[in-house]
Amino acid sequence: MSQTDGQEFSSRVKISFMLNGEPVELEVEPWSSALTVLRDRLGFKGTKEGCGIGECGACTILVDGQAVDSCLMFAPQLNGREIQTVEGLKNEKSLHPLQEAFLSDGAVQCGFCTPGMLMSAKALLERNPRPTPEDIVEALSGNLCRCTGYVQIVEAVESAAEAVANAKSTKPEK
Amino acid sequence: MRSRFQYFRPQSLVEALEFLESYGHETSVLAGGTDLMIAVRNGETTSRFVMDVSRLDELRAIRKNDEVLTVGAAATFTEISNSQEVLECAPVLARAARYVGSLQIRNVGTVGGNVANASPAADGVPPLVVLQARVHIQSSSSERTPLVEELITAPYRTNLKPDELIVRFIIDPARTKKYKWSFQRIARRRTLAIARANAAALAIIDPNGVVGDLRLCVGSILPQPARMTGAEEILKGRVPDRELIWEAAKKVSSEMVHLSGVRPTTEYKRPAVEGLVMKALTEILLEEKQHA
Repeated sequence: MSQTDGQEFSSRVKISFMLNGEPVELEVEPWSSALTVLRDRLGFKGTKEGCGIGECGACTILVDGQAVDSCLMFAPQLNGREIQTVEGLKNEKSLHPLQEAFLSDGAVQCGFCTPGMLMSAKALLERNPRPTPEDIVEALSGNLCRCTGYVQIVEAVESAAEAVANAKSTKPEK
Repeated sequence: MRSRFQYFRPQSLVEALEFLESYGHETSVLAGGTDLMIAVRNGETTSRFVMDVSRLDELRAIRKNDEVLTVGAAATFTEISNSQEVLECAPVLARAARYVGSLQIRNVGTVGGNVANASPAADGVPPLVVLQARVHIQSSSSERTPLVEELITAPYRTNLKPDELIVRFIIDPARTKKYKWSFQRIARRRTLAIARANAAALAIIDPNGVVGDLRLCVGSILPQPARMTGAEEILKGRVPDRELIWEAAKKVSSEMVHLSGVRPTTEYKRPAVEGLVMKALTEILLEEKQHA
């Protein structure tokens, strides 16, 4: 069979994808996780490994806008996708409104779950800019936090949603 | 140490089936990967190849054609729970899909993977059983369409042959259009907890007030999925009331003990399962209002 001789069959796989808006190309071992590639190959250490088995959400990244546990994703599955990590939230001038709100509302204690929480919240706000507290709880229910008790996190997402909406409405339309 | 393998991503269903014809006996199929990754992480996968079918269009579509609903094996639980076609034709499946894992897992986990992995606690399985879904399985040279309960033979075991691939699920919604439905689940918490017990039920009450048809499947309590026919027979053709439903619930728990044996958890599971069945059957047989 022809595939046996081809590249697509190799135990190393060449992949390319967009990472926070920048193109990335590298060879990966197919059994490694997307999380390992992001952290150990590309140095994007914002994404954390908590449980490693999809039960805590600390490793949440956005794949084509959807929240995904990067510990459960095989590295070759990154190929051709748009990936966002916590490092891509802020722009050159300022933090993302979610980051601002997490800081001002006391939604960060040890900080380990924070990148995953932020990414799940980002995915939520992109598909639902005015979420109810119930929507927020549901959107974050795949992310565990062992410090805050969640109340401040839900409040922070609420106030970030408001800040984004207000910023949009006060912007003069030209 | 992690399992090692070579990765192959076919560009078409034909190519995938050809690959399985040659290498099926040493290939694991990757759909969402949420179960396979755990096995790889634990070094438990001995396959030489992993074949990634997650992007095959033939496996991804959810369609309604000629009154038949087909759900692609690689459709994710998020896609299933949001699909207008599934909400309309198979709402019990859409509801169950919302309970799987967490949002992150539903965004990648697939119904085909859920069935092929054959965990007794799979949330996708009881709805497919009560819907009498057919599993469309193909190889290069053949195809077949067994029921889900004919495919899953034991915990984490199916009778899929090495050269076979689950392509889609076929559901005939006409038969259950007017049925009421319920999906119930017991777990430590709402999200990120494997079901201790889960139940799907469909029923229709005839104009004369008797149960015309009832289909009940309870997951996590038996080695492989099965309809609870003993409990169904107690209610079929009768005017339902709480006592009869209670009798049916007792029948389910005694079948559980009969088929799975007395275990350390039986003392908890017996009343829990009875309560779960009570809840599911009361909802569809006694309550006037049916949730949307």
